[in-house]
Amino acid sequence: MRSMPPRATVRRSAAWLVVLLVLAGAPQLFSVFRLELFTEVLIFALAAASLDLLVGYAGLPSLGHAAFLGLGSYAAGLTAIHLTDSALVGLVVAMVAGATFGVVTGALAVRTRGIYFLMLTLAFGELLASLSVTWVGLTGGTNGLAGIPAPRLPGFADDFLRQPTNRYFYVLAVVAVGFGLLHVVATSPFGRSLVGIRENEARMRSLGYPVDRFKLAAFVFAGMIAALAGATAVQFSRFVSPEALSFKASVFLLLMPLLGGAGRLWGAAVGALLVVFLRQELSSRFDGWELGLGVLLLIVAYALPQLLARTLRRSVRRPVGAGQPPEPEVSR
Amino acid sequence: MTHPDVLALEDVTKRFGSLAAVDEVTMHVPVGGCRALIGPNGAGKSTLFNLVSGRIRPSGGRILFDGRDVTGLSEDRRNRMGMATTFQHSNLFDGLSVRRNLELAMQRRLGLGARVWAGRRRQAELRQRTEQQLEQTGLGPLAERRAGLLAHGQRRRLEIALAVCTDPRLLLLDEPAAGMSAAECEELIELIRSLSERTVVLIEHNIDLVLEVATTISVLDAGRLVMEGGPSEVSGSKIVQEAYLGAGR
Amino acid sequence: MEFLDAYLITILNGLARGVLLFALASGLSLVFGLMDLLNVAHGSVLVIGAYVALTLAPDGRGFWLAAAAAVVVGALFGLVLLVMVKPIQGHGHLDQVLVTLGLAFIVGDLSGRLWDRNIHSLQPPPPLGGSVAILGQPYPVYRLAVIAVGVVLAVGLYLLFERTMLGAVVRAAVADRDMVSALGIDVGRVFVGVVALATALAAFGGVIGGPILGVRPGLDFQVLILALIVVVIGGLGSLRGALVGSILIGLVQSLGPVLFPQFASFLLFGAMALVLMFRPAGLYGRTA
Repeated sequence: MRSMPPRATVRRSAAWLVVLLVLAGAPQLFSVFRLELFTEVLIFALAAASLDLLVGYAGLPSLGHAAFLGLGSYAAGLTAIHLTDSALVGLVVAMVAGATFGVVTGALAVRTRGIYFLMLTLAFGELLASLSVTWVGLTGGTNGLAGIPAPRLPGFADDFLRQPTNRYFYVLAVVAVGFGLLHVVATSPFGRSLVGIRENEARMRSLGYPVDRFKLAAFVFAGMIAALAGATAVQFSRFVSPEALSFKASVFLLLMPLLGGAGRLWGAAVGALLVVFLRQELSSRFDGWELGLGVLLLIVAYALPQLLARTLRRSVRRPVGAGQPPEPEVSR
Repeated sequence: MTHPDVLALEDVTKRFGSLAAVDEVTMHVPVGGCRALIGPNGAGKSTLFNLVSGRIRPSGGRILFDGRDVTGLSEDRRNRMGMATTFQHSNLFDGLSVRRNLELAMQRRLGLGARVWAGRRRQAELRQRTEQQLEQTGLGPLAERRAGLLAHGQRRRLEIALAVCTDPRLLLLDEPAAGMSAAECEELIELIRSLSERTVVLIEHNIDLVLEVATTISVLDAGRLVMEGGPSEVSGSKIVQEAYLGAGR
Repeated sequence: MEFLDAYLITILNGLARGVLLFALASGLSLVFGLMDLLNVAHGSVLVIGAYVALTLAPDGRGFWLAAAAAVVVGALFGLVLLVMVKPIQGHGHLDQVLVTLGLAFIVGDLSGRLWDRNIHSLQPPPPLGGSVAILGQPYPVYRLAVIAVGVVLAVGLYLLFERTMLGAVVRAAVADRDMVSALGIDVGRVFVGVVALATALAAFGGVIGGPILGVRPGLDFQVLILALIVVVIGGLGSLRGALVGSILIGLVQSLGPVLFPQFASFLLFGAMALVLMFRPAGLYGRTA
């Protein structure tokens, strides 16, 4: 019973088609300002999806994930300033930085549970943020890192990435690759193991899984992808400041998979779209959007479990075979 | 060379504060057969199981599995070496289907647990072996049901199936018959008999079941091993009667 | 001792900070230990206390009245918190964080609008406004007073929880909620009492901390993170841990920038990482 009722498949395919069309035609569809905003959504979507792997799949709620995003930005930015303006090198350096930070902090964090994990990730994020403020010589302190040269894409003209349309497609390509990697991992046996760890860690241990190692791997991988997103961000906007690493940024990021539906990568993308859009609307209407952020948090906490439960009842009836995404359940 | 004892405990002790829950227990379990561990409540049986499985560390003594010292090894490491335990209260993946429960156990056994990519052949093998396991344990018709919605007896069966999935040489069953009806107990006895190529150690309060399946019985009282012997020896033993009746001291 | 000569002032500053942290962290730790509730809005309560003092006693006169008012407001906040957390009872820690965080953001935004976004420094009450000579240098009397208050607070809490019937009930409820319930004691009322006490303490901390810290937006999360670190190091649910942790962090925060200027930020988190490596549940925490 592997084929779904035709109507649902048609609807799904239609939805994907629309998404693809919008993604491909964005430079035509949007004004320059909106295109920039849309690119920001794409970048956050990737970062949010990486966080979803941690929260929605492995059940590891991190309050410091924006630190990876910001770290990737700083790493790529500093590479462009001091090393080379090659875009790809910047991406690689960012991923290495993200993975390293992930290993160092993850080794300690994954040994803790629940509340302690939350607080540790928060603390590590704050550590990185305060570092970016105090190490003025390297990072420019609170003024941020400026003077980042435009990235160069080998095989293309030197000023290829100076044009907004080309920049957009570059970001789209990187984000697509990132999503691809996340998807492969999430639907793999490893991904299912992460779900198992979320569902019942003690059971997994008794079944022979080295749980801490798996958690660390997920943590490092998610951090690496978030750093990739951060690198793309800085290559796009050519600026980064300590704000990007802040606790508020982490909360902002955490809202995305939670709003969009934790446990499904495209849900994180939807969440990213919603949250960025909301922030844009709220901060242009009011002065600062913390109030909106607070209300949003309350909505997610109070109202969403019901929404989540309803979507679950639908998906459980679908038989899951190897290669299909694991059930999108989140026990918070 | 396979060591004759699949499990050996040497002076194993576990203290909680000043209380010795397990007090210098020395036990040898040879390959094959079924060892039952009985004793009154609070005798330390579950604590002993937790020590053997690796969930807690002993205060003293050694635990040897197939002749290898596993005292310092983690629970998951011991499972990979061939030791599987069931939990006293069924501990399943309640939110996942029965099939998914078994798949998780099976994919570890097939070495797929950590893979970020599994080709068609491996996926097919996983599906096939899971299907086999479902049939063998009689859980086939329940394959798509959420584990959390199963009846008690079915949960116990899934609990055992998960442990068996990892292909253990030593299977530790913690009160497998708890809450089971007479009919379910019969099925359980059949199941245990079918596992004869593995060594089974079980904790049970159901003495009839124990007398049916056990080849040797070890009796624990107040953390100490007070008697070991065949079913007939133990059922007639004064020591055992005192242990159960005199538990109010 | 030369060390003492050079750093006595800094140490005293550290102790004063430690007292403020203790006012915050003790409540945070208690509420978690008792109700398994992590209140991320706790820093906001402290700031509210400071703003109350700012409104009622900006120049230090009427300080004690302001403190009393702040305590009442703090207790009320605690009740509001309980109401807001009720719907998500049993949903897990992430939901608690979401709700209390939402509350913190809302309160932070509103207080930034009701007052302004500048830094305000409160004045200490006139009798404590002067300075005293310590090792030849002038040192604010007020800070010494804060340290004294801290001692009173610590002793008071100790007596409350170790020597009174109420304290025994609370300690029992931390250990086994259901058992206490079974004894016929209304655990709900115990919860309300402890939460109100915790938030009242936090608000009080904001009032006495006003002259030492600068009251400004962003203070709520700054102190919250410090309090969280204290609680993680000290162990969730342990009053003693909160005290030891507060003093430790207060001293690290004061001595750090003086002794190791480059590594100041690392020290804090380094200390936390160190403790957690050897005691994953904190110095005095219970390992679940």
